[in-house]
Amino acid sequence: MSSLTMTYTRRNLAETIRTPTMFLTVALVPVGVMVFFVVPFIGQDPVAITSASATLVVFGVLMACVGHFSVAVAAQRESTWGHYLRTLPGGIAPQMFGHLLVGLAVVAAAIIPILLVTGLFTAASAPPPRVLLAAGALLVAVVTFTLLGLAMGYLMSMRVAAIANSIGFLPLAVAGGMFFDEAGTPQIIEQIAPFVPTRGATDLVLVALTGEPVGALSLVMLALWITIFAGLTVWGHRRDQVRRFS
Amino acid sequence: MTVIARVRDLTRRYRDTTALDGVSLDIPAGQVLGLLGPNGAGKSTLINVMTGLLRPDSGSVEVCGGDPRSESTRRVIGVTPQETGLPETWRVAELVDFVSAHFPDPVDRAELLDRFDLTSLADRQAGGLSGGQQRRVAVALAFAGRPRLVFLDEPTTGLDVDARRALWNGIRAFHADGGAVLLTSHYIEEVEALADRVVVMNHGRIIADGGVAEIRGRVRLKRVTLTDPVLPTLSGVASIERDADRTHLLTNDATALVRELVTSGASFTDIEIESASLEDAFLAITGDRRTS
Repeated sequence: MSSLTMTYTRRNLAETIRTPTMFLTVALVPVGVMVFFVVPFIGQDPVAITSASATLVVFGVLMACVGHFSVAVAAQRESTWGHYLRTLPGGIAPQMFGHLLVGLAVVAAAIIPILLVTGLFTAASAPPPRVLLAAGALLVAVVTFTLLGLAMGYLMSMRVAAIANSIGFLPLAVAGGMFFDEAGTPQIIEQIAPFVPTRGATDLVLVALTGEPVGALSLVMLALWITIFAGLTVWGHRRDQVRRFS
Repeated sequence: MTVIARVRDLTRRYRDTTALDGVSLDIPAGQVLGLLGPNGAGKSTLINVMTGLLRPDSGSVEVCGGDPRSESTRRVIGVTPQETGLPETWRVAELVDFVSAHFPDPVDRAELLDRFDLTSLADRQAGGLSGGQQRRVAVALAFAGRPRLVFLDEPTTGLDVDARRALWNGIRAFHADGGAVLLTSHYIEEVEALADRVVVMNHGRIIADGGVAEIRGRVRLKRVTLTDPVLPTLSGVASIERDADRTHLLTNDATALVRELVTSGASFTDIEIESASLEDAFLAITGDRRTS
């Protein structure tokens, strides 16, 4: 890794920590939900808590990736500082890698507390190879939500991105059926959930972790969503470059 | 004469306005060039094209022998960020280190801070600085990479006198070491103090280009200042400006004007005649003088 990439990573990380609103929200909300609403009720039911923890990890990834990348990109686009950076030598790659690495750090901040609570205070368990497989599936979730965050960053102003961040997660999670157990899921959610990207990501992680089969529809939709988010990101990026720099 | 930046027939349009209309310009190495022009004349667009932020619709730009977007060019030019956009949580020393990290042979941080009188601010966060301090930091950043050509877009607008002097000293030190500067300014006095050469733009074109004295002399204007005058209608006056009890008349022929004043029996209590300033010349060239 080039030293310039390290410079960008260090600076972005320092800035993320010095203005920690997003960072703290991402680090505290998912684990808070876990501690107050999940552990007390199903903490000692091995099967239920394993799925619930995995779901919350995906929720954490959603918040971290969308929160970080949408705001980082929107801020970069709107700021005169972002303009200035283009006049410096070194190319765009160190900046992009810097954002990516800091994004992963934010993801770690979101999911490590959940994993700790799960490991220390609940009856959740899974065999190590399954956990490894689930980690791989989680990587797909990271890619999905990173692309969503990037697309939002390119298509929204920073204000709108911030608003979308504060009100967008819950509907996405609820529509994807993240906060319901199988028996208690309302009919309407049952019907729309497979078409929502959060459901596909959750299902992928769950199937990797537990081996229980899930409907193929949500996974197909997930692949479709990844394509859509990637397309929007590329389109948004190009449009942005043309608008501002050509 | 080594040419460090070469611009040929540059044209750039925004929707319905033409910001640059066939601009050609050579900047020799080591020259401080002052770029003047009213708002909307195309100065900032020219700088944005020369620093690679905008593409021209037609024409060519070569800076330090390369395309402005090329890596080799970026290493040898210095650009100022807008001071209002400095990342608020970054300390001044961190900003300098960050920008320096992009260049192969940056100026030592202590030396750079000292040159722009910023040493005492090194540990302050950018967001906590006054506007003038931020501006000085922003300008200093343009010099961090030992550039051969620096672009300064209104570097001292809104600064107090001391801060302006500090900046001027930094720019002069750079110039003395052989650096070239492209400078725009609202303060014509600043261009007069720093520049070797003046280029005046209006409506996207270069309308005058020469040494400071040459531009000033291009318009053979004299400024005739009268105190408490009661004036008849005068011929041969380019403009009349009043401030408090003094009235400034700009004229191409001071002798004829004085004669006219005397023969017409105009009343005034004091008269001063001086060469027009660069500002007077600039306003006469761009036709922007407001007569009052």
